[in-house]
Amino acid sequence: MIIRKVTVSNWRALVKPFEVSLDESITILHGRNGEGKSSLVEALRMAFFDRHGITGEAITRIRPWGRDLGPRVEVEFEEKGATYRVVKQFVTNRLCAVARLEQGEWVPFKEGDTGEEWLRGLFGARAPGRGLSKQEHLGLAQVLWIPQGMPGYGDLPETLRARLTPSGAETPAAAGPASRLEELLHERYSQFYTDKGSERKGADSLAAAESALELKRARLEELRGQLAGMEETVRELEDDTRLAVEKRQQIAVMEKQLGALNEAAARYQKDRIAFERSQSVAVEIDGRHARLASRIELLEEARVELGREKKTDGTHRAALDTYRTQLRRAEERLAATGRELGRVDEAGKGVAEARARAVDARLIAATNEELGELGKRREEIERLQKAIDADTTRIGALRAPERNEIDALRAHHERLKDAERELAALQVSLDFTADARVRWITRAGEPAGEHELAADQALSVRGLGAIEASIEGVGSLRIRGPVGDTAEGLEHTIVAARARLDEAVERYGTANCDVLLDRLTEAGALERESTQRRERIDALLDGKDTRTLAGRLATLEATLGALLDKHPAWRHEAPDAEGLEREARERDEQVRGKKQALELEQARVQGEKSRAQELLAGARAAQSDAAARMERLEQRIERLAEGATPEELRTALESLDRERAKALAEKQQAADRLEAYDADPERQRVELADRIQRMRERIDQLGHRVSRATGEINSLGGRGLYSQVTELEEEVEAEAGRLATRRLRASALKLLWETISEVRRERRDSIHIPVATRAISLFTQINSRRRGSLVLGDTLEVEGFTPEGLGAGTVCPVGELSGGEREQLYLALRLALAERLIPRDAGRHLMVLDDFLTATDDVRLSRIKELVGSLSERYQFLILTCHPERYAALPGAHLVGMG
Amino acid sequence: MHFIHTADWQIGMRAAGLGVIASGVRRARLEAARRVVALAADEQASFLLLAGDTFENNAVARELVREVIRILDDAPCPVYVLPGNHDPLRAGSVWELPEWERCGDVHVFRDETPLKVSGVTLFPCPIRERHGSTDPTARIPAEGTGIRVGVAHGSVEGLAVEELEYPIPRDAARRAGLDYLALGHWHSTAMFPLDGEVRMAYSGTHETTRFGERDSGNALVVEIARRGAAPRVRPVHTGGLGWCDMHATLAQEGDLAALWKRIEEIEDPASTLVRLHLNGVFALSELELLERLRALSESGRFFHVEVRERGLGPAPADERWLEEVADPAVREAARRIAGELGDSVGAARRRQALVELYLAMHEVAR
Repeated sequence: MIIRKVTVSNWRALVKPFEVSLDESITILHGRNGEGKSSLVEALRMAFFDRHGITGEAITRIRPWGRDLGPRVEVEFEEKGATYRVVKQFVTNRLCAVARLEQGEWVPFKEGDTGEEWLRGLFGARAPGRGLSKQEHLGLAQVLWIPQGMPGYGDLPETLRARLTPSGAETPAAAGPASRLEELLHERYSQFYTDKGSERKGADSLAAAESALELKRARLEELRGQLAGMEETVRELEDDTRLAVEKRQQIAVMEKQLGALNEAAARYQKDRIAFERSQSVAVEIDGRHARLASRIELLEEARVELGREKKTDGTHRAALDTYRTQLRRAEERLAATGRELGRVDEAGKGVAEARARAVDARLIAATNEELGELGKRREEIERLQKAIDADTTRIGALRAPERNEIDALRAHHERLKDAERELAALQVSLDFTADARVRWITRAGEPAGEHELAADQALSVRGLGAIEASIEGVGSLRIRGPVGDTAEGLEHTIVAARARLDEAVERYGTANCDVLLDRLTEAGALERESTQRRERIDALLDGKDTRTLAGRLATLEATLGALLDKHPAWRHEAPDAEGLEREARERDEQVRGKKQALELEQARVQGEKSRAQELLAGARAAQSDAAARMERLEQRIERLAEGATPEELRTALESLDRERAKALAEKQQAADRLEAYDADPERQRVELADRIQRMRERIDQLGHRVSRATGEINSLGGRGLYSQVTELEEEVEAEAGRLATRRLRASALKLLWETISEVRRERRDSIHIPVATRAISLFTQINSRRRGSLVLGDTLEVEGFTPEGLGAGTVCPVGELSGGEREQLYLALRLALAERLIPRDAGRHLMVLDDFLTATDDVRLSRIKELVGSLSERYQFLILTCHPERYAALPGAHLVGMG
Repeated sequence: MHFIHTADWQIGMRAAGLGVIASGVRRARLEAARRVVALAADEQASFLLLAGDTFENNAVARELVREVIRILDDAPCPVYVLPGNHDPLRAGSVWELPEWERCGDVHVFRDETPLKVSGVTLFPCPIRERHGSTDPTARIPAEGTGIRVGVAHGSVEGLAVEELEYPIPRDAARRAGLDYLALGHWHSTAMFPLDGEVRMAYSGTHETTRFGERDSGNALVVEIARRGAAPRVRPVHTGGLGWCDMHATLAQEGDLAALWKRIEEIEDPASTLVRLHLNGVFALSELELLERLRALSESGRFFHVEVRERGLGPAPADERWLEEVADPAVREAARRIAGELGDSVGAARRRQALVELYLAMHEVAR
């Protein structure tokens, strides 16, 4: 469809007929605010979609303010090769007339409601209810016509969504119940589940029913437990009763046994007393017999021992006599040996004297030898000391500084020479010869002062660095030498060097460094020699000092004097020390041999004496012990016999033997009587009585248990537990059956509902995904900065935008995009939808942009214009704006001003 | 001389699988007991023998016991009650209620002491334990004069029972020199002829206890002319409830309607318990009829109806009804579910899902 011309009159601001012809590609309709751009779009919309017969405030408001006129709109358009014109008037003289151009003439085609129906059909639109048409009544125009301030298109009605369905597929319904059937299924599903698929809670829910059932089951288990407990109690009661009866029977038997045991116990007691008495008599006799037999035995033993001791005593006495004789003989031999030794000792004294002379002779020889050697050493030490003293004197004469000081002096010489040389270089000299008599005054230089010079008299003036002078009556002059160190500094250096050198001369007699160096070398050599000599002296003294050496010499001389005084003959003839020693040795060996033999003899005799003494002492002690033992044995014999004779004692013992045999026989008889019993009947009686007592107590306990159990059973039986269990079991069974049915229904409805939802989702995705993908592609062409994906709702309304990089589940509301981005996104989406809604061969369709893209920047607008240009073959664009300059560069655009 | 032989009243028993009508079944057992007593009056019986298991358990509600005592006390003849293995004679048992001692001519056999009644010597064999493996009739003295009637409770050897409690030889009556041995424990009426004479029999329970129980709901009228004469044993129906266990395999459309017709023809539905075992497939077009069947249990027409349809499902090949689903998404969903019906896992859920859809669709259509 191509709109060719629109004429509007009596329509809000457009009172006078306003006619606009539209380009088949792009028309830019511009005008200031309030000039009627939007009124024109409104008229165009009402021409196609609203009933001409509409009444009410909504329609009367489109009349020009305060004027009772009928708003009118005429639209000429082409559809499938034919040209049509629709004329509609509202409020007054209502009219809807559609005419077709046939051979240059407008021929009525349709009118009234039929015409309006046909017109709506061109857009796939549906009639509104009461009032004006809304977005959802506009058919394709809902997508293609963008009203001012409404970038979005809202929910797409099913009629339009049906056109989006792939060919062959059926129309998808929107989410939520789309039919009564689905409503009913949803209602039934909702009885059990929430829309999120969770099971419902609450009093009527499955969970509540299950919970109630579980409670009943628990109660049932409790009752069953009680019933089982009752059965158990009954069994226990029966067991206890049976046991009590058995025990009573056992007691009856045991009581009979007890009577027999009582009699047996009395007999046993009597026999036992008899046995114990006979046993006591036998023990007493046995004791007495044992004691007497023991006395006789001990007495016999003591007598035998006394005889043995007496014999031993005789032996001891004979030994004593023998040992005394041996001792006396040994003492006599010892006295003889002692006397012989005295004589040998006398002979030994002469040997000592000979040995002393030999020693003295050897001492004199040694003393003389040491004296000679020490005298030589003293002489050498004295000679060395003299040489040292001479060297010391020479060294003292050789005055010279240390080597570094000599080097310093040499440096002062160098500095002095350098300074003097430099000072000489600073010297300025002036030779002046007067032509006539003049008065010369030297102010700087030598000779200083005034000099009267006669004609041809010459004067030589020298100055350091400069000469200043004046010639009276002639003028002054100033002569400067070469530039260098100041003379004053050099002079100071010279003075300092000379002072240092003078000081050396004063201290050492010369400042000549070579001389001083020679002195230093010589002194060093002398020092080394002195050191060697001192070391030799130290070696000769061997760690001692000279005084010690002198003292030793004096001592030796004194020793020698004393020895010679002792042996005056040796002053004349030196003694033969070796001969004297040999003589002394021979005499000593003779005496020593004799003495040694005597001493050996003395020791042997002394040993014999000691042995004799020991034997004597031992024999005396043994004899004394034997005497004591004999005395003790005699006392013991007396005590054991107690005055009785051995015969008397033996007779008494035989009498006791007889008594004992009799007592043992009686005891054996009593023991035999006791042996006849298996066990102690008394103990058996007590044990049996105890058992009977315990059994009675056990019967009492059983009786209590039976009473208690009977009470319990009666109480439980009275409650009719089995009937309670039965009724509850039936109830639980019925409840479980009902619940299973409900659960199956719920599960089945869930399956049904979820499968329906799944089918719907798949169908919806088959439409939504291509639309959203294409929209994003177009949006990216316009706004390359913003990337992401679009989320569309069930009715294709925009739910949000997922920016690239965020998770698929993150959906940002479109409201969070900037105003410009929002405009661009909706434009892209409308174009994407239009591509799918309108077949390519369906010809152009009008797309209206009423004051749209106002928030879009120039760069994006430029891209949109480019896009609009490329799409102008497919759509007829009508762009309404109050800023025509923004679209000036749109190629092929037809600009129309409202004014 | 003739007397009534009854047993296994099982008063207070659990009616498994019967849901809310279980208490009704229990009440019916008391009603049947009254009919047995009435039979004794009608027959002018010398006495009435109750051969064990009067009560389901010793722990049944004491009110029930008192109710039974009242019923028995109304009997026009002496009543002799034998404790059975369900209500053994032991501490805390139903037999310890003092009311037993207060009623006029109702006697509980508390030991094996023979008892002379109306020229007949009764040899009771009371049971004292829930389970037992000894012959309770073994202690009946074999010698004696006059008409000798034994009363015992146990399993006659050779019966197809899971557990042989208190085994009783098939020739127990002859061994014990009895003219007749009145037995309890087996719920079906059963007689054990020997050499052409019936000298021992189970009366069976006086009111059927469950589905599938045969020849039950009777009491026996026993007539013995003299010592050694062959007894004449005549069963009389005392049960008030009919137990109808029906099995049907649905294969094609119309089968369900035929089944409905069979149910319609059941006599005395108010006293009849019906259990339907449905297998096979049904066309969803018959779903309404199936719903009517299911609703029978709540109609009040029958004493009880239970429909077991575990093996029943909508015919998998019959998808014609799916074409009627207007919403394409719902139709597609239904097709998917129907396509997986063959998978045994979750088949019941899928079947039910289609049924739910079908029902909803028809509700919308209405």
